[in-house]
Amino acid sequence: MKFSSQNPFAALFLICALSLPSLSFSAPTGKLTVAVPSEPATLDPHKASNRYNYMFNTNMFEGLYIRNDKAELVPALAESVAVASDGLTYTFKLRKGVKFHDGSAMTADDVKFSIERAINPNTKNPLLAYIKTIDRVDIINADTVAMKLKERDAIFLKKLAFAGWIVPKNYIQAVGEDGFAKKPMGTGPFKFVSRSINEQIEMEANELHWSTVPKVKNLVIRTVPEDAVRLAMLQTGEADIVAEMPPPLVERINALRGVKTLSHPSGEIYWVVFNIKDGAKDSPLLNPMVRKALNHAIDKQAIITNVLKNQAVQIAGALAPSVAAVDKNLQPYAYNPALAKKMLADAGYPNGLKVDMYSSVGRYTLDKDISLVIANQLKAVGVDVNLNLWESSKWVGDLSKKYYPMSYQAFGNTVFDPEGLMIFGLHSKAFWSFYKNDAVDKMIDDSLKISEQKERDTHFQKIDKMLYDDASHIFLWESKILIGMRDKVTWRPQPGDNVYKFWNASVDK
Amino acid sequence: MNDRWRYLLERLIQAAVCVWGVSVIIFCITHFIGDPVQLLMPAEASQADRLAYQQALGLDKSAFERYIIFFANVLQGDLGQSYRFNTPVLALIWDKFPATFELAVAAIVFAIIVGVGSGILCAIRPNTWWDHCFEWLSLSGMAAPTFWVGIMLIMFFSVELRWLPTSGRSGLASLVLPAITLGWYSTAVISRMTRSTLLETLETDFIKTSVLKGAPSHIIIFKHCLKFMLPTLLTIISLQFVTLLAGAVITETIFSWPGIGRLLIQSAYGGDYPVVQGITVVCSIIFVLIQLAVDVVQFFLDPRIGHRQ
Repeated sequence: MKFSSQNPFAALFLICALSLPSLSFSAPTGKLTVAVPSEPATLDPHKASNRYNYMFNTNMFEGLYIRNDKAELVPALAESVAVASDGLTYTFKLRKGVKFHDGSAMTADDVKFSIERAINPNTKNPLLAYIKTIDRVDIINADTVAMKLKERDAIFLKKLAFAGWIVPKNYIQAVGEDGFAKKPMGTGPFKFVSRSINEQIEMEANELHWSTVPKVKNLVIRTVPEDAVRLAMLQTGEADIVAEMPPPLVERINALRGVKTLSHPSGEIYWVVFNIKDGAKDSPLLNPMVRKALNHAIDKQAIITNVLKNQAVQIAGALAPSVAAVDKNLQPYAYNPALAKKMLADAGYPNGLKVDMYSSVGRYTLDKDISLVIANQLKAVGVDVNLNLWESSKWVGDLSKKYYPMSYQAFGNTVFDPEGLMIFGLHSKAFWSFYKNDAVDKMIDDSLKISEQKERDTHFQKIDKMLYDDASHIFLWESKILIGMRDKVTWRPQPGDNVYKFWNASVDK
Repeated sequence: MNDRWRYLLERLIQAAVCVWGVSVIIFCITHFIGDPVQLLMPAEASQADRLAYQQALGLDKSAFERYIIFFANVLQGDLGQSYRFNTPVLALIWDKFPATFELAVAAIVFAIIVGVGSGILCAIRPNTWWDHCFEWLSLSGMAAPTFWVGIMLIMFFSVELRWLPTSGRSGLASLVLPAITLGWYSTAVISRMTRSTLLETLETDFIKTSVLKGAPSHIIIFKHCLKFMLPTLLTIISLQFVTLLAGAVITETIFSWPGIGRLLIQSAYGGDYPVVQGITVVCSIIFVLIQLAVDVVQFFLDPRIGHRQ
């Protein structure tokens, strides 16, 4: 069921509780061990910014609205929300009978405290950008809370589901900020047991949960950076699920007994970014014809098949199919080196051209290999690519200081809406955008006012078509995440990200 | 003050200068790597958010100013605050150091037992098949990269034989493979050095005399020779111990061993420069202290040290 319709003309719009997970009554049993390459920094959900934090948060904490294990937006600690006609006031009806992990009741006080904490600049919340439109939080009565926004936000609830974690006020005030980060407590399906930095986080089923008591009793998330060691752990049974395996290992994992592979769309799109914004005064890349030629010069399917071992799906434009409603009529630029050469000649480069490309090593899956293939395929049509491969923190650190005419990059998903990609990856004002097109900028600005989902979808499709026609980037693919899992485990990752939810996972004895 | 004590004092001053030099170098390296804010902030952060965050971390100040603050804090025993973990760097190091120390000690014990043992065996039977076998093993030990040795050991002992856990830190069993991996190179070095030193020692006049006097060979090897070799072995082993702490970066990453080596590499990748600086400074202090301790021990073992010619 689709959510998130806010009609600005209606006086009050009420959204009811949808698709609640079914209650499970059997007691949790067994232990699930998951091995991932990295880990959260701090465990405080309001101070944490990396993807492994999101995974921890989603199992430990809840917001008024959350993404469930099918990536659907559903009410959690709220039962429903009413949005005022001006779109500036969100009135949440709180769910009754919700308890924190220590058994204390979750109240309107906790909600007010949590949101105020999350938007307080002193908290240094890295996710503040998502919810900084919140002006203030008012307690209307014991089970009603209103949030006033400074300005309208068409996808406020989607963002709140990503950054609006509810934490226990009394507990934090009793144990202090550091105490809370050391021993966090929330209302989520799993409760915290222990953590050793760089080693593991142990969690336990929260049997007091208001709807979803996990099927497994113990959840251990281990940090194992070496891919070969995660594979070995899967073989020996030390791990039940190993996440983020490199694509070249897919055949080896499939060949193992008692183990299978899962692969799901990551919500992350890959592209070659042209810098036609800063310092691009005389760049040949300013010419759309050249950019189109470069799109035709890359054999994307060959890279997907041979380098990525099919752990990616080709895309025509900038939208990821798992995050946005993509226009199926938009066909990817076909691989056609002859056409590419002709277009380059037509654009005034019959003898080819020279361009610098900067790629990271280790930031993205197989980034070095893929950049090399791309550079070679471009060479084949006469584009002499001078490829600079840099260690990833250097590459990112210099992103704002140095002019990269071309670079291999990705843009991920957080709130299941193209808005992030548009504002932060394509709008000429954005840090991560190297593209400049006034018409696209205006369309992006317009999108901010559209809250109706269907209308949003068509609007973003229009933008996507504009990007495609302008060949703003070399559009490549949406990646997939490869997971190895033991046969005795029943579990499905949700499409669109790697914020894995384990409450419905079960382990056979 | 005589020459010998002046020598010790000089070593102390050198040690302090060395630690200070390391602090400058590591500060410059982290400064030149680039701006950590881009690594720490999500893509969704606006330019204003980035600037605010930069200010909050004190990164808007000049490099010189930041170094002075950093160094003044170090002198007071404050290594700063981790950007990523939001905790004091010293507390993080304190938390992770025991794991690294445990691993390094286990590795050096392994290296001493196997290295000195095999070195002695080779020296008393030089140029036999036994000696050649160990020579070959030591050479391969020195040549094999740590990450390869580690993965091979996991493949064999964990995946094939299922004797030992692949990774993690859970009891003595999990210590075995990382300790061997880490100690591998040092074992080879110690074995070779023991062999050659012992062969040399066996050629000295005082050993020849005791052989002629008819002393039993085990007394000659273990009492006379080893005692004579001790200063040399001590220097080699202490140098190896220092290499072990450095090698821990790779070994800990392979075996998911939660020590400061992992913390260091993770912090370097994540732009958490206070942690990188803190670990480097702490490690350099440890290195220097070990060297100093060896010098002091040598100083008392060998009365010739420190006397000017």
